[in-house]
Amino acid sequence: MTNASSILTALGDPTRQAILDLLLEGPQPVGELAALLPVSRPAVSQHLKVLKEVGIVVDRQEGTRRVYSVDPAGLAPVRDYLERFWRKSLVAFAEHAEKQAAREVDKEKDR
Amino acid sequence: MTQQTISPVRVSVSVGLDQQRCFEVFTDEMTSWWPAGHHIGEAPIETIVVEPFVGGRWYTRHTDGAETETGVVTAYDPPNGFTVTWQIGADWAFHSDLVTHVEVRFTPTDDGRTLVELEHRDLEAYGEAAAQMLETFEGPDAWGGMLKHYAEVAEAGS
Repeated sequence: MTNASSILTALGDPTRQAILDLLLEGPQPVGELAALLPVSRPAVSQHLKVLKEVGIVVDRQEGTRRVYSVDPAGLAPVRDYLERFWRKSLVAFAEHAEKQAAREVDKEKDR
Repeated sequence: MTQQTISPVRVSVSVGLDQQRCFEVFTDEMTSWWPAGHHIGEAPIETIVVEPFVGGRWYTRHTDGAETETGVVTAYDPPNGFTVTWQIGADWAFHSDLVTHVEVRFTPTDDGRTLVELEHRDLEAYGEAAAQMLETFEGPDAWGGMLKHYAEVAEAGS
């Protein structure tokens, strides 16, 4: 049921923004996030669940504790976009450069 | 603490100019080849300038006289290459605190052509920028670009 509106809802909450901010500095277990925020541990868990559902946060088990981190794949759309952008730009550059090259060859011939 | 990482974007192309000309055409003639729709001003591009020294500005002057920043030059080594910062957010606005780097290398090849390699790195900065954009979150259009991408990918996967 992940769609644009559920992502908007997930990111629109100030506590979830604060959680994301902390996770961007590095992976954290729930307890440490709760200690840094003015909300209860169950509330942090609930927020993490929402962030996980929209694919921005991932978790993994480390011994007895569960550690949460920002999913770098969550940024994949930005990376993909930039890759398309630069590919298109370099193709445009190559076309321009080849035109210049052809012009310079013509000049050589005229000499 | 470990930072989240995201692999750099790497794109390359080979062109039929020697290294020196290739460098010149890429930097001095950027206005001629830059895809015209790719800018963050309100008016079309008049000229794109990469000032030829470390600390120089990389900016666009628009036909309405306005100037928009893209980044600054952090390495300048003609004709081998140069590095600039790219401080354009996923919302297509300039962010002074969003710093990613674009390095372009020009390598001569045996056939008299030049290999142009572009690397856009430090993309994890977009994670931090996303958090900052969230702080100013005001509505569905506030950071539409990135969210739209998120949504498209999420929907494709569901």
